[in-house]
Amino acid sequence: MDFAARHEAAQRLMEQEGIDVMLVAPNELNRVDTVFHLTGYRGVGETLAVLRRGEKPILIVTPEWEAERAQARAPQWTVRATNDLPQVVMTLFASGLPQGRTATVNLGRLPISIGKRLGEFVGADARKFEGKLEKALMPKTADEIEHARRATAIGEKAFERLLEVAHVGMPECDLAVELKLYMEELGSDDNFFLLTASPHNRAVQPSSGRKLEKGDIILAEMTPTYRGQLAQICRTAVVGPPSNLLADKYALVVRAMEAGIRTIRPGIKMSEVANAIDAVLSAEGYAEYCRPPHIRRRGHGLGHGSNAPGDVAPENEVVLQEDMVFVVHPNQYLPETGYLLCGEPVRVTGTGVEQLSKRTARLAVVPA
Amino acid sequence: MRVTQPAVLVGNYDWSEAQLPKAEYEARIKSVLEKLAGSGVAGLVVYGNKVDNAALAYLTNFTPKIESGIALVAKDGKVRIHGAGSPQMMVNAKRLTWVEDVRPLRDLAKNIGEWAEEAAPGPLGVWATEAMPTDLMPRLQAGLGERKLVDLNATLDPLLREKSPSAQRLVRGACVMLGAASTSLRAAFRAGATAREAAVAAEKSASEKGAQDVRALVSLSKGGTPTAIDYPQSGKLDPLLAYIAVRHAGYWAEGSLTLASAPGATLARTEEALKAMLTKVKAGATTAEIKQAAQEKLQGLEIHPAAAMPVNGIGLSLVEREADPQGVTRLEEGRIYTLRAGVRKPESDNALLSAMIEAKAGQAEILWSSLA
Repeated sequence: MDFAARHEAAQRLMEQEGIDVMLVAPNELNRVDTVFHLTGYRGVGETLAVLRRGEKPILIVTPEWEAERAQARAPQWTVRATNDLPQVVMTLFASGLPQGRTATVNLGRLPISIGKRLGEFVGADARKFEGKLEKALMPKTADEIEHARRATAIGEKAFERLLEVAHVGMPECDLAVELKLYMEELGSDDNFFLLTASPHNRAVQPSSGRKLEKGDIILAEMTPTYRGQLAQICRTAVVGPPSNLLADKYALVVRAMEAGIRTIRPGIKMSEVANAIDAVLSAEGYAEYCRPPHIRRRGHGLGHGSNAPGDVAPENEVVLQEDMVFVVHPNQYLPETGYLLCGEPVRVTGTGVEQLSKRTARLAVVPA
Repeated sequence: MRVTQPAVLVGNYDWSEAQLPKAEYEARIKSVLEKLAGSGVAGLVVYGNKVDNAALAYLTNFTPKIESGIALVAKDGKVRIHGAGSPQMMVNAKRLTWVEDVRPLRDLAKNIGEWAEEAAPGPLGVWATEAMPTDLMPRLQAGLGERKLVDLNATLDPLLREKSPSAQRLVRGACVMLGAASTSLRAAFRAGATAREAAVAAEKSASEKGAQDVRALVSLSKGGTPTAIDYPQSGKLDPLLAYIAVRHAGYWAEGSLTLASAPGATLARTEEALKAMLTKVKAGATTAEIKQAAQEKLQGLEIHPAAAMPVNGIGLSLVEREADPQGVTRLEEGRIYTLRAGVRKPESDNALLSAMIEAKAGQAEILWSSLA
């Protein structure tokens, strides 16, 4: 699938559902940009994709000065750059939107300053198509898969850099910022990057000013984008020599992850991946740590375009298909060691699975 | 200006007594409560997210590094915060604020509803609603049943625009970091760096100076409007237009630059326009007269759309919300502003320049300027 095919898939959905107009907004706070998924353009301001059955689609971007990049990234779309997004929609549909034949995606996620006016114009009878559109556009493009590979490589290099530059006394944030900028140098344009450290972590979190200490366990969830496509690797490093206990428990978590990855092939349910991970950990006596509040999921889809196929979780009944891309991360809390991170991004192949990372997580050591 | 919004805020947003003492926040809470007196509200809900968090940062320093957060302010001044993340993630969330009561935000409507049960009867005030996702307000209202929500943006936003001596000090700090970033950007440009490399050099420089956040936008084509760097490669562009936003302890500084190895007449006239604007700025000056000063120097040229708003307040937001929907009408003493001049031409000979100033009686202090 490419962007043209994605637009065609959206058009087919509209035809099947009897929809003439579909208005699509991003869900930026949840790191899902459906406009980017449709067009290849990720905005600096609010954006709206306007799909009309059988007509050339329109991409509305804000502010007015964003026209150049929008047109460069979405050459198949008519771009309208404006400081007043609702007004452009009202002008486009001056005689009103077709009643009962209009669908919306994520309009409620726009900030009130824009969404309220737009919502009043659209009216309450518009149909909400969040799930339907995501399903129709689910397959990754060949470019997106390649971008996920490139993003993964950037993440792996950044972890190598972490092991070079992290040291006792360095604030978590300084380490995180240095690595984020390094990933930018390597070509990343955004990053869902969590990095924390403690002798006994309860979770991975956004970084703080806490300084690294000997005996800390550094958790790094590195999620760089490459041309908008996120890929994630999850890694753990200990400051100073690890105890045998920590090394053993980390090996267990990696073993659980590998069991999950080995199950992946087209036709199985996502829940089976999660269950395979849980089985390894449960067999070692950690069954109660395989559910909330300790863990909710064993991985997830990778945006920004779309989080499909969703979480690697026991309740996710999505059937895996070729070219689905997601991360498998046990990211397990164990009472003896605290939270440990390991995770690899994968692609479902025609017969099995391709791990996008070159090296599987191993407990790393930062000299102290 | 608008900037790219990262998936997560990575820099150091921890609250520091040395940077902004708790006493300052307590005074801010007191100011808010005074404004609320007589309004009949039983408490205040303050919303913020990783994109727009000025009101939340103003009262608590809490800046959501992911997703959203709220502060719940009782009439007695007691504050509770709910931040995104699991209970286990509150360890680092607590470092973001002086407020001791920090809890996970699981269901915003439910969190507010439970808190409201402990509050006195009557409506609840809400601040910073403009940043909220549109579908949130109806959910909040539904969760509160009979208790009404009252939008208090107009009442409370003026507090964000006032700059205490501490706030002014922090903006000055941000301007120093902006200066370092712009120097690095210029050096990279002179050394033949690509647009992307120059932007990263600017971001690194500000970070090394201690900025908690920095966002650089650069041209996509020769003389193009600064925009997000969303491609891994970019060319060496000359002229190069750039925009840098730097945040320090919550407070932003921003600057627009035009770099050219052979500066043309357009850039020279834009410089003249910005200089003319700077001669007019002082407390009490109107935006109309500042704009007029620029227009006299730019007659016959098209104003760049990124400079369509020649003056905006800046502080905990890059563009502060004003009482007038058209924006700043008259400069107020003690406030910090960005002045912006720019020209767009059909060819690549475009220019964007800016300055940051503090408005004072009889004059203005220039805190940063892109004029060489």
